[in-house]
Amino acid sequence: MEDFILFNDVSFSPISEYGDNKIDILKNINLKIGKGEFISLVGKNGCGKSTLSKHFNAVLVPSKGEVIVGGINTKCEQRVFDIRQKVGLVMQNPDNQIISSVVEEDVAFGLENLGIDRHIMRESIDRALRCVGMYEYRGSPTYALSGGQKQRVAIAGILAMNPECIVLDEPTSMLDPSGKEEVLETIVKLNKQFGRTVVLITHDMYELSLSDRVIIMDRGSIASEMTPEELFQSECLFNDYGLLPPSSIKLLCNLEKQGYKIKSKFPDTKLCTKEILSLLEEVKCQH
Amino acid sequence: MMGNMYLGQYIPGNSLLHKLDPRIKLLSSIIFMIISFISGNLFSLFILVLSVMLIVIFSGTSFKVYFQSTKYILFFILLSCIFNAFYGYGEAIFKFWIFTVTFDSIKNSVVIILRIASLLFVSSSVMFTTSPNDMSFAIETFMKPLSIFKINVQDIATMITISLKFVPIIFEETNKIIDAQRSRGADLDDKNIIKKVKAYIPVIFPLFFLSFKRASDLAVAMESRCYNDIIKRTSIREFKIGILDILCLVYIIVILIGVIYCNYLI
Repeated sequence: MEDFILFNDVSFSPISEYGDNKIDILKNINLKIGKGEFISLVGKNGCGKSTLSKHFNAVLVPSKGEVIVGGINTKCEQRVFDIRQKVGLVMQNPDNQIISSVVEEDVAFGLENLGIDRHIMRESIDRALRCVGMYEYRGSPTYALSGGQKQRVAIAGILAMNPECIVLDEPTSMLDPSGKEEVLETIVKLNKQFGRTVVLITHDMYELSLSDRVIIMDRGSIASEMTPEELFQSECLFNDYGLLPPSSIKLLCNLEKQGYKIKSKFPDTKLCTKEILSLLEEVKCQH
Repeated sequence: MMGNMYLGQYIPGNSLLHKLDPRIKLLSSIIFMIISFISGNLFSLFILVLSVMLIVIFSGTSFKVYFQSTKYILFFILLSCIFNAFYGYGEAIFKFWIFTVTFDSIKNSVVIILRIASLLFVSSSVMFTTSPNDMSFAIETFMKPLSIFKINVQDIATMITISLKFVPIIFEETNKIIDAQRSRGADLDDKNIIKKVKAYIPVIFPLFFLSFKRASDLAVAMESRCYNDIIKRTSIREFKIGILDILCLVYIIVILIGVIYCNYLI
């Protein structure tokens, strides 16, 4: 897989009001993200996930090391708009990132900033709104939308700029279950159907299971990298990084402790049910 | 949400006012401000009220929404007019203790309330029917001469429209903080005004903190979507002054002439 984003020994310390920078929020981050990959970034609060997310599209630039996005160094000020067109950032609270009061005008904001022609803009907006399933709401006021719909509009605003990568900083944390589902469906669709690279920052273990690779952060550094399957195999791994395993994994781990042989652990309800049913079948046969 | 309208909120629609060019709407509202302040006698006020009613009808928004969005301001205007009615010169109609109500003071109160209410309703009708982006374009057009003095007109226009967009969100947030502080035992309904002001301090501080956080997030979101002052911005909407816009300007100018005629000749 071709590398799209490269973090080479990146450290970040914000400059204090006295001009010195003492606290390292990010420490020696080395990371490679391939085109079309789905990465999830997890870790405790304050471990530097959001700071790292702002490095993907040059909102922040590293104090040490370099970030290369699609072959462009984020420190190159002349090409900052090229980088921001390649990588879009969606944040936690949709109300804080929606600029206009009408859906299609908000989606148009990024394109208007880039001085794109009206006719090309129209096509991009319609395509982005169709992609997130919000085309029917294009003329609606944003204040009348639900949380999930607002977040999908925020994603459409980024998609209209046709980025190759989308970074989502806890996009479902302020949503109700149905809103969460709508947004997750959209994210998976963007990755699987449209081949966009996705970096998802999350605390939710189910969301994490949707990705190809999990990056665990701890105190500003990358503590570990693995596939979701590897992470869910051991309860110890969760404890090591201060994460809470989902109840389905807890149940399977408890069964394992009781002496039952569990072949694979995964938070997906269908797979978990299948595992328990096969276990019950085995017990039945033994009796 | 519609039951909780706030001043300055855009309501999408397809009315006559929605179809007008934002520049014409802004220019007309400026002329209307002048009309409101020069309307002095009852005839000119009658023309003023009648034209405001027509504007409200053409905005396609119900009177209920207008009253809902301006109810607090209207209450304060009414209060100040009641006080104003007690201070006047001329022949007394009614006298009580130190208060004297005269024909002049009543007339002054009516003039003030009609002027301010007309202004409020016209500006509301412009805000209800103009999307923030269109408004931003109109403000930018009118402020363009200031760019000679190297003032960033685009930034000012964006700031104004974004602040208007955040009015309902800040109101909503204030209500949430009030509820949170009440649930923690804060007495916000004390009749003593000093105690009441003190009780609102724990509401104001979190509100400031949250507003700064919101502004910071918004700045990141805008930067991520390439907001800049280097590239010339385009707009998804095409703005062209048409026959409808010219008719609207003619309508406002006719009202202006009518009011001037009533003021000086009747």
